[in-house]
Amino acid sequence: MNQKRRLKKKGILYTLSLTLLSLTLLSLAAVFMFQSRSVELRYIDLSFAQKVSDLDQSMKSILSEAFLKKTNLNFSVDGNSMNIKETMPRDLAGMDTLMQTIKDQGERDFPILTLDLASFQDRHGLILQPQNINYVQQDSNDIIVDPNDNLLSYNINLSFTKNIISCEILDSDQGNLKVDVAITSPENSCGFSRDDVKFLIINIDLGGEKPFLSIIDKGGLHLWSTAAVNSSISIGMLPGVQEKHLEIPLTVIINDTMQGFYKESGVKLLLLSNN
Amino acid sequence: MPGTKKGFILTLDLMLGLVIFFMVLFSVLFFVNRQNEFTLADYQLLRTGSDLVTILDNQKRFDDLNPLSLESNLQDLVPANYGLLLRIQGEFDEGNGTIEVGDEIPLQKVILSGRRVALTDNEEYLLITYMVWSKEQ
Repeated sequence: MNQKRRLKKKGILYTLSLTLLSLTLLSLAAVFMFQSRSVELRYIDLSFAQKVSDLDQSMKSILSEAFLKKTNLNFSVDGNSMNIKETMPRDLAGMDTLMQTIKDQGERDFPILTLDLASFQDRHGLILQPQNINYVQQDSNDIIVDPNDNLLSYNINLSFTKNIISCEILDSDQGNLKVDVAITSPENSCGFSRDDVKFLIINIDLGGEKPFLSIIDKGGLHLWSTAAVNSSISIGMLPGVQEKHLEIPLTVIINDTMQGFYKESGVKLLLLSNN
Repeated sequence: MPGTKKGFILTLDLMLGLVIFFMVLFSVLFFVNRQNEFTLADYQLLRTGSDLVTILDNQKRFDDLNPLSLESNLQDLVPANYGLLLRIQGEFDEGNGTIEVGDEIPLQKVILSGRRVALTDNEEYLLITYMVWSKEQ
């Protein structure tokens, strides 16, 4: 009897230990399953990020390419100065059409994409980052540089194809801008140089057409000319700590409500030196 | 009293049986799920496809939109253990606006795809869909 009872107790003990062992294995299996699911979700997130990155990078790349194909600007950055050359009057219609085509077709193919061209079509031009200096091609006859605390100097060369009849220069000192202006035409020329400019206005008479150049405190510049002119504007600026780059004033927005993803960014044009 | 003991043992056996049943169920589910799982290898495959198209774009291979030169570039570029098919769509005359370049899509293979855009020399907008898969060596 005693032996039988002992055997029964052993049996219960075996069954209990087997149950415990199986429960442990079951828990481990559950943990593995959940872990594997969670890892899979991470990879799905990564693949979504990859698809967004494909769209973002390639869209910015073609916008930058389209700008470079259509712009009349010739720009370079050297140390702490940026030089921009162009010829006025300019025709920006071709660039606007190409950008609009890219916007229409891109937004048709990618419902999560929005290209905001409003500020670009309104204010063509370039933004030098990180100093946030805006060089604006307002319309076919205007160049504007927005006032900015980072602006230190201007070196401006204007070359008109028509002869200059007169140059009227109005300026005020006690500012902190260094300005050098050289205005040339086939027969005459005029110029200006000062390193404490507060404001400057140069009215040029070309015998009928009257272009002007104005610079106000904090470096706001406005050049207006209906006459043909080759302009070269070198902008001196405070050194920045971050890498310099040029941006086009348009915004790429990627908004996927299903994934809860939103990204809004500008279009970098090219990477420049670290100076 | 003997009835109670029998009930206890029966319950224990039942518990053990249930636990084993769930273990088998979990294992089956685990292996079935693994078949459809998106793995690191799949993600790597997608990245490779994206990188290959980026390289082609940076090398300006889409600029003249020449399928023959693209085909030969792909052969040089795509590693032997990868398959890649590019579907290029745009408003061009050739192929009614769709060109396919690359390998043939195999049956019963995991195929991953992504999309990029490009611009030709003629300022034509292109939508490029790349499909990538691994080939058995």
